[in-house]
Amino acid sequence: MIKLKHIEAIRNGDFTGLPISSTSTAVNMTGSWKFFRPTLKPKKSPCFEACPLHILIAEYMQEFAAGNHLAALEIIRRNNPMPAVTGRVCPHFCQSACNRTDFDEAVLIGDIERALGDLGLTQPYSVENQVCHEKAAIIGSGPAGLAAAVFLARAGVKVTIFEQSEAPGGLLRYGIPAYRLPRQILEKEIKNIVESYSIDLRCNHKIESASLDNLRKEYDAVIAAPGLTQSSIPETWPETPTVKGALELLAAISRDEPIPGEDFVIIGGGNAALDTARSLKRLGKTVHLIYRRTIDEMPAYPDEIIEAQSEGLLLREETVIEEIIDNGRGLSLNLHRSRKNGNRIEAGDFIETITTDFLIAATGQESSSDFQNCAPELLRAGDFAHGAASVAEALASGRKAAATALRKFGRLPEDSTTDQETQNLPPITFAALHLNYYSKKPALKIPQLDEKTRSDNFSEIHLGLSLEQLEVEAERCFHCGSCTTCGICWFFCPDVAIAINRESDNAESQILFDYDHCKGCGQCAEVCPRGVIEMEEDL
Amino acid sequence: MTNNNRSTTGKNHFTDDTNWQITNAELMESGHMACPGCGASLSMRHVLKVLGPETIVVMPACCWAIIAGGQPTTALSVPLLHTPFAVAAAAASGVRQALTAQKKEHIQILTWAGDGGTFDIGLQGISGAAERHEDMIYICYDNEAYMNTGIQQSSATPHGAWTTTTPGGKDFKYGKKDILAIIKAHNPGYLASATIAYPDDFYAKIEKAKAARGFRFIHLLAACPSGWKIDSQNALEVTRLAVESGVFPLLEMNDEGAIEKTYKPENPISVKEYLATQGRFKKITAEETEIWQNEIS
Repeated sequence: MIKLKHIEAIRNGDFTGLPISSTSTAVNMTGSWKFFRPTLKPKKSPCFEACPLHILIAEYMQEFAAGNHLAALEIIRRNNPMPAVTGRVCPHFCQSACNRTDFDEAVLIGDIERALGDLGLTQPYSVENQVCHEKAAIIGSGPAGLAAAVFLARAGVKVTIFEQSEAPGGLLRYGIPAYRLPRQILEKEIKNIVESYSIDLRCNHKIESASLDNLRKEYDAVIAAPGLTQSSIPETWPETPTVKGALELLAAISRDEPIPGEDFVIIGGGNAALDTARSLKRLGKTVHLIYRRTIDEMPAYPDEIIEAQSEGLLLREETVIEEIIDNGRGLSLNLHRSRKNGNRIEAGDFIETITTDFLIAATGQESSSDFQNCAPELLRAGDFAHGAASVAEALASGRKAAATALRKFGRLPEDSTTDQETQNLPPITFAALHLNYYSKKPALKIPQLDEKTRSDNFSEIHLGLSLEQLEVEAERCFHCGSCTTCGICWFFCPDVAIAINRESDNAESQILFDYDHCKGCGQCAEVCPRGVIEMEEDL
Repeated sequence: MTNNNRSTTGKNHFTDDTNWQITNAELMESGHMACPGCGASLSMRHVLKVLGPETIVVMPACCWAIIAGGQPTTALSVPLLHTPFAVAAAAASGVRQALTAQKKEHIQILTWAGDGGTFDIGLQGISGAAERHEDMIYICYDNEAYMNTGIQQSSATPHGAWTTTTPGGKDFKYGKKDILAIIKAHNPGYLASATIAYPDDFYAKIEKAKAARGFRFIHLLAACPSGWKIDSQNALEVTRLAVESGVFPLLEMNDEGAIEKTYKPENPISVKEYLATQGRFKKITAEETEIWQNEIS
């Protein structure tokens, strides 16, 4: 009981004998109560896994959303030397895998990559002053050859690229129309690579298999990435000048050569078929695209099919050509309805006979080089190595060939360990994310030229958005599996046992659990939007 | 009493939607005696973040009287006056008057009581303080039973809920007392219900209460993992579902004196789904659940 003498004492600042607490409860080691402890367990995001180049997308989105555009670009370039190109022509495997698809819409990773790639066109690649005495020769300056060159040059290897055409780029230049990949973008990106890494690029320099041996004597490594540059024409078709391959035609169009003829029939359902059809239409030709299966089964990228249809491309599905008659001035084609025989397609009922000036084959690609039978130890990359695939896969295969060459030199390829570390992490699924504190927000709409404006020219269809606009889009990224120090765990900790140190460079020390006071309730693990915090037994 | 290793720097933005600032200063300490996952301790932490160091806390017997720590320890970096069960609001009125006499009107009085000390035992004291428009913020953290004495039923316990004194579930005839209506009848300076599972709503309401004058009352739902028979890691989620199901709506008295919802769930869940998350509602029947559902909608 408080007596008068106590009040006297309080007036004099003396609290002895009074029931007043002055020590923090922090002296209580309440952490000893727990059976489970929270730990940081980073995981690999589905976009990272889906990307053939394994770009750390969740990581660069974080930098990008924070306005650190160059830092984001640097993360992309670590794995992808051509973001301005892939931002446009890659089918974006990452976006199809995006966890946000299950929530509202995928993050527009491709458009962000594209904008960063464009930013990079004026930013020289960072070159480490690594010097070594090895020299490498690369045959072909397509995406695979360029990627191989970049990853070798980064390790200090002196690189020479031999390109048989008059300009570098391979399929990027001669196979992909300018409305998908503008020439000046491609040229700038290649120029930036060649200049940053001091690559010796020799155009109009065809390498025959006979001269390979000399090349291999002169250089420590030779990587063949000549691509698949010509369309294969079915054997049953007549050999006449009015029957052509799609790739040859696309190359001629990209060289601005005059294209004779008015009526074209294109056979195929891949990107080459659609690219050829859409390019010819832009030149004012009449084009019929004939595909033997249904539109849904077309191997072309879905976006391209939708765009081609909106441009009014005449498309006949489930149709085959049974007979081709060369009538001197043009070709007569007998069209039949497709009939399925198991997995095979056969000619069914006759439909009609049509005439055309030119018949274009877009049913497959083959190599025009004669390296096929060369020594097996020749390093191969790109479509030539693995068959026709996406640009991202070609870049990845170029990087892989470079890594093989570096190992041959007895050196560790750059960044391979970081990649491997992320690769070894467990994957994260949509179900493991905690998104209660996110609201639905649709993706940005990317403006594009309307059908009328783009019908007769090769202007780029997709107009893109500014970096600032896209920052909003990057904020939609969940950063699945990587801690962003967002602070939600700190906020919801009832025991004030989580500290965030955003200054720390080391991801592992950015979130500090105070295990002396953490009671192991597990709420931090349940609120972590990215599924990074896990509870593990602590007995 | 410093938290030197708990400083955070930069923006605290845990989602794309959260753009309010949260101070890094902690006025509640680690090592308190709350059970793992306690909603009341998390709520106190954030209420004090808003009210700031110039606050005096007055609390009656309740969970927090234990959580705050035994002498000589205290979990709060602000003065805290423990009072007997029935008199928190009366004692707080005294502290308020003493501060006024000292011309320290800027110091906030936070009366912090559980549902027992508010709905049952302290009700007359609250009514008196509210009637006199005593300048204080009265926050009831409602964990829906007398939790620290062993989970006995209170008049805030929802119908059908198991407690140690209602082993078959609280009689369905007796619902949860409408505390907001009782306080509203006293014409308070501010009146709201909130939960920390909705941080922006929670912060906005505590800030409004801080800015207002007179008797201000906030009814907080605070999950109790042991009393509600839930796993500690789900405490926050269950609180959230209480709101999503409409069982605990987030309310506020507007300028005209009418009580309105501050949050409407986009995709509300059923009462049944909410009850299924907790062991204490195991014995509730389907008919009772339906009646409950109809009461809400």
